[in-house]
This record gives sequence, C-alpha cells and structure tokens, in this order.
Amino acid sequence: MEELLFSLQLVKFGVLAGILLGISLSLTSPFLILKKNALFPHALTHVLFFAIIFTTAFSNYISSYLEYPVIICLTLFSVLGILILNKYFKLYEDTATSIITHLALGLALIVAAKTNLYDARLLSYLFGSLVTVSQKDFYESIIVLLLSFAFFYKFYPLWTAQITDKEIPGINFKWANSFYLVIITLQIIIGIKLMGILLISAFFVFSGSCALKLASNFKLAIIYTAFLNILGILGGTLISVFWDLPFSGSVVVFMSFYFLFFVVSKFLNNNRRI
Amino acid sequence: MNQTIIQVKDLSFAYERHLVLKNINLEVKKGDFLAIIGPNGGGKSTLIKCILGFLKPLKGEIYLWGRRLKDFKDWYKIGYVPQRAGDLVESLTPLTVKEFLSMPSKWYKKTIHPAIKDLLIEKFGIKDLLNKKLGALSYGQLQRAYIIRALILEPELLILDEPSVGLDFFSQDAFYKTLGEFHQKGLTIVLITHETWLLTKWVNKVACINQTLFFHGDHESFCVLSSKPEFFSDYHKIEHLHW
Repeated sequence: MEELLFSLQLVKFGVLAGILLGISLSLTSPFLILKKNALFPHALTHVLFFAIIFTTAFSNYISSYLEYPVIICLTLFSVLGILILNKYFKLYEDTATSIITHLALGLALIVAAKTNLYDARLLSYLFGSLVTVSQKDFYESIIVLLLSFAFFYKFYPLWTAQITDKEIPGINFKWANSFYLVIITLQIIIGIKLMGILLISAFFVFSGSCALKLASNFKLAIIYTAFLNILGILGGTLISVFWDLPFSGSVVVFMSFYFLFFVVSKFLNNNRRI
Repeated sequence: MNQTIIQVKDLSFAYERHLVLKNINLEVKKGDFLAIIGPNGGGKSTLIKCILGFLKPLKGEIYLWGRRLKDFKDWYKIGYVPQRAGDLVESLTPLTVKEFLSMPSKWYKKTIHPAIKDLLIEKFGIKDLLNKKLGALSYGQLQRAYIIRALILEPELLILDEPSVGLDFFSQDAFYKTLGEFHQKGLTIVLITHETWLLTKWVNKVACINQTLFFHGDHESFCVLSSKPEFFSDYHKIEHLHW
C-alpha cells in the first residue's frame, strides 16, 4: 500500500493534468467524430512532433515564452500547406494531409538525429509518460481547460452547425475553424506528454464515440465524454502502477473495455427481447 | 409596385474553366413563388449558391433587398433548405430536434417566437419527435425538420433546393399545400424542382435555366411556351461552354 501511495505521489501531476485534459477534450472531440475527421488529431501529432523537436532543438534561441506560439505557428503553417495542396494541386484533403504529415515526421527525425535528440527523449515523445509531467505542465493544462471552455462557449453554435450543414447563408466558419484548430493543437501538446504522439489521438476517439452512442442529447454527450475520459485516465493509471505497464498503453486498453461492455450489453439486450 | 428582393445582373459562373452560368439576369419580387427548373447540371443549384454568397461569380452583380451581396447583413431574413438536406445528418448525431430547431437563433442572434415555433411544429407534424435525436429520424422526418428550421425566424424569403426529394406523393402534396399557405401569408419562395406537376398548382413564376436563362416569366406564359416541342430541345441541350 505504501508503495502504491508513493507511486501515486510520483505521478500526481500527470493524473491531475490527465483529468483536466479529459474534460478539455470532451468539448472538442465529439465534433471531430461527427465530422468524420477522427484521424485528424493523429495527423496533427506528426506535425506537432516536428514542431516540438524543432523548438527543443533550438531552445537556446527560442525563449520559453515563445515555445507555444512557435509550435502553434508551425502547425498552422502545415495546415496552410494542406490547404494549398488541396486547392491548387487539386489533391483530396486526406491525400494532402498525408503528404504534409509525413513530410513533417521526416523533417522531425532529421532534426532529432542532427541535434542529439535521438535518444530516450524521443521515446518519451513517442509514447508519453506520467512521471515526466511536471507542476508546470499541470498549470498549462489548467490554462488549456479554461481556453477550451472559452472557445466552446463562443463557437459552440458554429461548431455544431457544421455537423448538420455544409453552408449557412451569411455565416463564415473561418474563425470558428481556426480557433478549433488552435485549441486541439494545445490539447494535443498537453496530451503528448501524457500519452505520447502515437496514442494521444485515441483520447479523441474512444470516449467520444461511446458517449455519442449513449447520449440522448448533445450536452449529455459532452458530459459522458468527460466522464469516460476521466475514468480512462484513472483506470489506466491504476493498471499502469499495479502491473508496472506503460501508461498510454494501459489507458487505451482500459478504454477499449468500454466497447466490449457496450457490445456485450447490446447482445444481452437483443437476446432478452427474443 | 412590389419590392425587389433578389436581383441578379449579368451573372456568369465557372467551375475551373467550365462555364456553368452565362449572363443570367433574374428578378424575384416580394410575394413571388418562383420555381427554377432545368435539366441536371443546368446550373440551378449553382445560381442559388451564388445568390446566397457560397460561390463567387466570375462576373455580374447580385443584390438582396436592394443591397449588394457583399454589403448585405440581414441574413436572418432568408430561410434556406439545401439539396438532400436529410443526407447531411449522420446516425451518431446526438442533437435533438429541439436543439436543432433552435440553431438559427444562435447564428443570427434573433429570438424565436414560441407561438411561431408551435405553429410550425403542429403544421409539419413533428410534435412527437422534438426530443428524438436527429440521427434517429427517417429521411422524410429530417427534411421536415430542416424546413421548419428554415422558417423558424419568420424569414421573408424561403429558398428550397429540391426539398421534396425522398418524400412520398402524399407527403409531397401536403408539404406543398403548407408552403402554399405560407406564400398566401406573404412569404416569398424560390424553389428548385424537377417536379413540374407542381407548377400548375402552387407556383406563379417560372425560370428555366440551362446554363443560360431561357425563360423567366409568369406561369401562364410558361404553359404556352412549354406546349411547343422546341422548348424541350432547348431545355435538354447542355452546351459545354468554356471561358
């Protein structure tokens, strides 16, 4: 028991940041699923990987206050690249996204190799770790949560509008979509520390898709997503600490049980009706 | 004299280098019930998308209530139902019909009058569906929800792009009867349709578009013109114009 408490003490900032991230994500992830863009965060992580490697490699020249703006600018620049390929080269959006994200990943590996970042740090970027989440990261996750609430409050009508309409007379989605991109970029930056580049996008999909199946209205869908995300963080932490397993993998395996639970309960319900 | 609500002057539009609309001039006056007809690919939906500002014309001007399109701000005066609206909603969508109907008030920051809302819900028969999720509705029920949403802020102009596709004959008849009632009360309606049987019943103006506007006038003149065989050869001829 003492060992468990000691372990939990070590990961307390990670768990707290994870809980706040789980709430933040509940305000954005349902929209991605409904717009059939569930793989977009995964693509974005590749671009962010390059941005993070770039700012880390050149940290001597970039002030710590400028790290986030530089990361966001590089991300927006990549999205602009996707738009250019889509509009001027007439490539499908997913093809253009694939090209830009792979280019970003390739560049990231070259920068990492040439700047001595090709070591244990690379692994922590790829797979995340609860232990490496610091008090500073926890405070940043509070800011991201507050920003998520603010953007959600401001743009909720336009984010939901894009679920049911492609175009609305007199309504321009440009700002709503730009802020949406900024907030999911910030959420992913926080999430990468916890879950790593390879698994953070699972947070955008697992709970959200279960919640959308369960909820009878949009508000409940958001509440359920937050609840299932928090449950995933806590469940994943316990599995990880008890069996000494990687945190990100434990969370994903724990959240996959949601689907198993729903499939079994649906099967039992159907049998009961027969 | 009736106020001009839509004025389209010498409008041309091209997708890439393929000219879809060529020198269109069109006027819609207050109280008109205009049907826009024409073959598939003739540019009907494109014209509507230009009028609503979704597409940028190659040349020409569009005026709404006498204001140039780029200066027009009162978009709440327009209700719009897109083509195949029912297909836009995915089965996972958790929005309830009630939440869906309240969306325009948030977009345009206008209040919905409860009496109007109740009247529309009653007229289109969706009272029992209000707490249902959009994803659980049938195609016909979704179409009705979109139409109610377009009418909920009491617009002066209603634009419908093939709204009755997917509805059975009796639902179509009931739907157009209801539209006719709103028209009688002063609503201006622009309707894209392929169902020409409707024209004799509800519509008072007709515009035929096949890249160019080759007829625009009242319903009686249209009936005279459409009885001539050469009309249909024009109707179906699509030139592949390039600019």
